[in-house]
Amino acid sequence: MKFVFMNLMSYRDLPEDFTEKHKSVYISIPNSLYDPEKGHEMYNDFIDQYELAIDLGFDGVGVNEHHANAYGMMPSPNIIAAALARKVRESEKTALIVLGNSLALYNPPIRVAEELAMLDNITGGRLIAGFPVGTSMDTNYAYGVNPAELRPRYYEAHDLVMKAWKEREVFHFNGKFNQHRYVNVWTRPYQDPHPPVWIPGGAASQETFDWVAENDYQYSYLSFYGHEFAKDKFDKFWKRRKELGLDMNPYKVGFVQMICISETDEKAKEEYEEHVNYFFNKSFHVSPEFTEAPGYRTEKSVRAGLQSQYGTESAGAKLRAGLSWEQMVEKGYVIAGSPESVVNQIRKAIKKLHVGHFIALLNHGSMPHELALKNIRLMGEEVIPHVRDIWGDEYEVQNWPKIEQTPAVQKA
Amino acid sequence: MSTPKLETVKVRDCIEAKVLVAGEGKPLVYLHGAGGLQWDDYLDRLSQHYKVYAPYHIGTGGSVGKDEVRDWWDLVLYYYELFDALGLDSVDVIGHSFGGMVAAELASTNPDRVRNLVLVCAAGLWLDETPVKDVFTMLNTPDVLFQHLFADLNSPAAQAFANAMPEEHEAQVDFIVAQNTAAAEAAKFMWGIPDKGLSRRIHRVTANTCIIWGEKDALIPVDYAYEFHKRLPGSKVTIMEKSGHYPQAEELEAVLATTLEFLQAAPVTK
Repeated sequence: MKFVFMNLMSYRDLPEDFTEKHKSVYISIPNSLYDPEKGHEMYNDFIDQYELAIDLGFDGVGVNEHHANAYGMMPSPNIIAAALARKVRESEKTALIVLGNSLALYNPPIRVAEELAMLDNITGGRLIAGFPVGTSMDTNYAYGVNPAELRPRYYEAHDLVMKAWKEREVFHFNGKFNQHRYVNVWTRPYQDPHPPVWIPGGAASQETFDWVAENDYQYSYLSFYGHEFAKDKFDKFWKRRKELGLDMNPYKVGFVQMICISETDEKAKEEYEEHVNYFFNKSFHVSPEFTEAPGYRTEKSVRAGLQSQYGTESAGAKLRAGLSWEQMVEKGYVIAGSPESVVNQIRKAIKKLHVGHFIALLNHGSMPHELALKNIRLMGEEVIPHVRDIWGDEYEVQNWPKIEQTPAVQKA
Repeated sequence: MSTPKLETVKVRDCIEAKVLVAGEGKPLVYLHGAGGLQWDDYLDRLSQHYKVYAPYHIGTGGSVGKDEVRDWWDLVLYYYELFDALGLDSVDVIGHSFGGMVAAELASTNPDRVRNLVLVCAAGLWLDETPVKDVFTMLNTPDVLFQHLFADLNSPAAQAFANAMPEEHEAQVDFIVAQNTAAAEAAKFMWGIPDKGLSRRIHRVTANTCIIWGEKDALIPVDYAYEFHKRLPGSKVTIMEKSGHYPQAEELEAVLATTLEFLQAAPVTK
């Protein structure tokens, strides 16, 4: 079992009356609400949190990409990844997971191939490359990509990046959106021919499952609504893999879960409830204007979404709204409590969903730095050691870098 | 209301247009907006005087081949080829909103193909001081969309629009999907800023032009009526004082009279 710490890096100090005064945490939020003094502190706290996770021996640290919002302060995941890369290199076994770069937003996409290759070289082959399509807010609104072109651009950029990593000679590329006479990614990745690829997404569509299977990638289901809401998506995933005649290796999927750990169940509620509520109510206060541009999903997916109450992320938001702390824990939106009860909840979730890569969100919304550190420490010291062996030797670890326990580059 | 005939028109390999056709007489093409094609009273009444061709925008109404029509120039050429397939050499064209943006472009790029041009609350130009509203952000909030479309929300035209959603669940799903697809396929050509360079080509227009606008248009403000007028010397402008973005619904009789008077009076050649 692999455990990854991911830090969404929400801006933790939105005003009390934010939701009354402002329609959206994304796109239309005025940046006058951003205080650079506080931002300076937050960025450094967030990086400290990552560094603690590396010291505690998490299997991986993950970064992701969001734009024009106070929900995740990582417009450039590669910059945070670069700030962590040296520490990752020096760690016993931690991998660096860029979860990742929304390919259609890079012009030319060769930039992604270059930067990720740099990170792979600095870490000595510890990089995992994630390629999400990205949310409609990030791609269509913040970056202005035409929704009708988003997916074709994404797939074309993917082909270009992968070819740039695999080819050993300069080549030309005549695409619909990218025309290059000379493609030459220098430096090339440390891992040969390229880092493992993860495809993070929230739609859980069969088209994505098939494409992931075809390329032997890992699929990461990214949602904030927890293991119960995720159940039918994972059922669909495993059913499809069976239909395709593929194995049931849990390392073919990743799963994101919000986690809150304290000394006791009661104390967890006391310490975290306010911050989880801040996250759902403020960090995730997205105006319906921007949730989805027409054309972001295919007609087929739009229809399927209208026919299932679990179909979309906005369905998740509706199901969660108004739930008490106890209900959120019971329904799996949040895994919370004493280390022992968190161990039990995680074990159940992992078995139920059949996942090998567990991406733990441990810093939520307005959490003060000290509480985030505590949560990460308890996860690393008192939870992970008890759930690490869930899959034992039953399955081979896949879609993960081959990490030699000694750093690839020794310090002089 | 008469029922128009739904015709399938083979434009070329891999592309099939769907066109609503009704009436007899001189041909008249109507290009609809981002809300999709509805056969309304305006089209019905026009079909009492003309043979009306109302094509579904490519990618909607069961048409085939949207992936062949990738960008703005593909769309322009697609329409010329559709006109060819319909035997329309030089034709009168009415365009509403997004359809107006297309119609103005067709008249600019090849002036020979459009004889008389009617622009109803047309997109296509951009004024920094009076931006066109981003209609695509309103799709998830039907109330907001509704408020931007009509001047009088209690008018029969507005109420008919507001109550158009069917009651039965499956029909509702079809309705929402069709609406979403219509917007998505228009957004493909309008995304971000719906200015794809018409201002650099509009001087080429030779068609007689009539500009019809709702005084209270909350999506494409009436300033754009005057901007089109400025850029199309000799064009006629009629402002409908009690209308928003759908003057042909809110002030049907007046818009119809203006349209017919213009089309019938416009000189055949220029």
